[in-house]
Amino acid sequence: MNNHKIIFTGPVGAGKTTAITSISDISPVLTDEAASDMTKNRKDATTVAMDYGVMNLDGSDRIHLYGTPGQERFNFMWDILSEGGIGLVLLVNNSRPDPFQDMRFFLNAFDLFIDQTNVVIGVTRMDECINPTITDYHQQFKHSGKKIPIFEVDARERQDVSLLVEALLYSLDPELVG
Amino acid sequence: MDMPSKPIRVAVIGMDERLKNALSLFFEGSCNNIGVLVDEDSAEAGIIDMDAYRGHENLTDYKQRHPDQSIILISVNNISLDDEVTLKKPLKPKQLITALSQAKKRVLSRDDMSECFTTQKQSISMSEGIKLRMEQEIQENPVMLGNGNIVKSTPSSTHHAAMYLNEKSAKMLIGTAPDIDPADPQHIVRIQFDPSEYFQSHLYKSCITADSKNRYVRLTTTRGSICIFPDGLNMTSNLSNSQLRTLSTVPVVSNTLSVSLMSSDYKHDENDDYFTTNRDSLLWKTALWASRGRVPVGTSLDSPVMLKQWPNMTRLLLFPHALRIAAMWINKPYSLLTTAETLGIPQRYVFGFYSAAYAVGLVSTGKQTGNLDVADERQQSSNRHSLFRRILDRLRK
Repeated sequence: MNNHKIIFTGPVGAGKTTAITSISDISPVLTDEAASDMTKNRKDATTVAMDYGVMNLDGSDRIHLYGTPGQERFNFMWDILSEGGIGLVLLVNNSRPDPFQDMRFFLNAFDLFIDQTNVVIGVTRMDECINPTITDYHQQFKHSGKKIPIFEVDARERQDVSLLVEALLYSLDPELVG
Repeated sequence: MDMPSKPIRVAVIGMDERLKNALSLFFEGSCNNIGVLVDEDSAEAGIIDMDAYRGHENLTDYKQRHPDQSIILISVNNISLDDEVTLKKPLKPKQLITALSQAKKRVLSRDDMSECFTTQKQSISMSEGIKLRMEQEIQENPVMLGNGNIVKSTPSSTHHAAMYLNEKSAKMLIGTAPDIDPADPQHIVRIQFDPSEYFQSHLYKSCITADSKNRYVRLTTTRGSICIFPDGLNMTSNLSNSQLRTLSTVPVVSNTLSVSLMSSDYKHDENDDYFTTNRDSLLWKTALWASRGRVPVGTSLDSPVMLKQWPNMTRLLLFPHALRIAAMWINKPYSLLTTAETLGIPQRYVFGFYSAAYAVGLVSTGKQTGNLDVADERQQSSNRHSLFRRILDRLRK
């Protein structure tokens, strides 16, 4: 059996746990606990270790879905977590005060991993806050010339999350057939 | 059998009044209210008598006018045409009922898929209900196509399931045109269309007006209207998806549309008849319907093109290969013909994608870098192909 992994990251409340749940074959192993620090104003429970889900593939291979803890004090785990991963799914909560700052923070934190693989960005909670728009997000990369897949995502919708992961695969391998 | 409650609206083509009356009586009597005869304009499906004078032309013309409708063909001869339900004369009530219920299922399936893209959100429970009903009915009564295949696709359960349209289902968007010979001028003409003749162009111009005037703009058609917000993002409309499709697939008669600039204190429609939709989603969709696998007139098939940015794929009407084309055009420019050849897909998918991306302003031109210059990448990625493909299969289950 071969094991592979896809990393889900993003700030607190971006929907990492929900996104993993929507495509996992198992009920994700949740490590949420009652928020007790600066996150308590954002959601009642938050992930303090990591979320974990699995997609079982034909041929007995498995794709492990790892969600990073939303709290920055756990970022020591990120390098370990992302080691050998296929790519990164970054979820950004559009209703946060400065989602661009969040985005930049996580892109910087995973820059080495992204250089080696690739990243897709799912913008969540756009139903609550329509600005910034998807075009605004693209504008953030105008000077760098990077063309990252950035989609509006409802983390509860399996198809949204699925499309995000598919875009990650196609951007890693444009010749991919299917 | 558990019939859908609402009868399918059927038009009959190539039949004299006597036959129409006979069918009408049948519909009203013994067919359990599964169908009702209507004019072609409001029909969801057509019954075409292939033995009538110009039978085949009638079929070709009807498909041209209504590329997304179910068609039931009747003939004394055994006919075999892809995707059409066929009945051999003499018509037997049971066969006709079966054919109608199959056509109804295809309409339900199509509408369930396409309505997903007209509303921002759709109730999961409703979609699941349709899915369950469809699965049950397909098990009870599989749809036999003219080519003998059985339609196994079930309606999608969420509002973005067009990603998983199979080649057959995508026909209503992309058409069925074979690949062309780019050296043949006649072929080139065949795959071109003039967007300015279609609804997409009127919609686009209305958006430009809304933006430039910073005012709400109402685009009124004979069947409903679209209100374009000056925010560059949204629209409201009371046009159903099928009405929009009908409007978009054939050239517009100019006096059937009007554009009004609304007063600055205009309050946009918020009643139940109107749904809010994303501007790019609607522009993309109307362009796809107009294109049906063709390109805007004047498009060079040899000039390299690329995408300015990734389209917001989760909110667009998608079809097979759309993600592949986007991924290919995002970093390097390729011509349309090279794209189809490199990806090994029919040209019409590339043409359709180009037309839609062009309509929402995502296409730019660039210098051709040659056939995927990824010989090394090809080697590197060969090991990933199998894994990634299995992930795709898993995600699409």
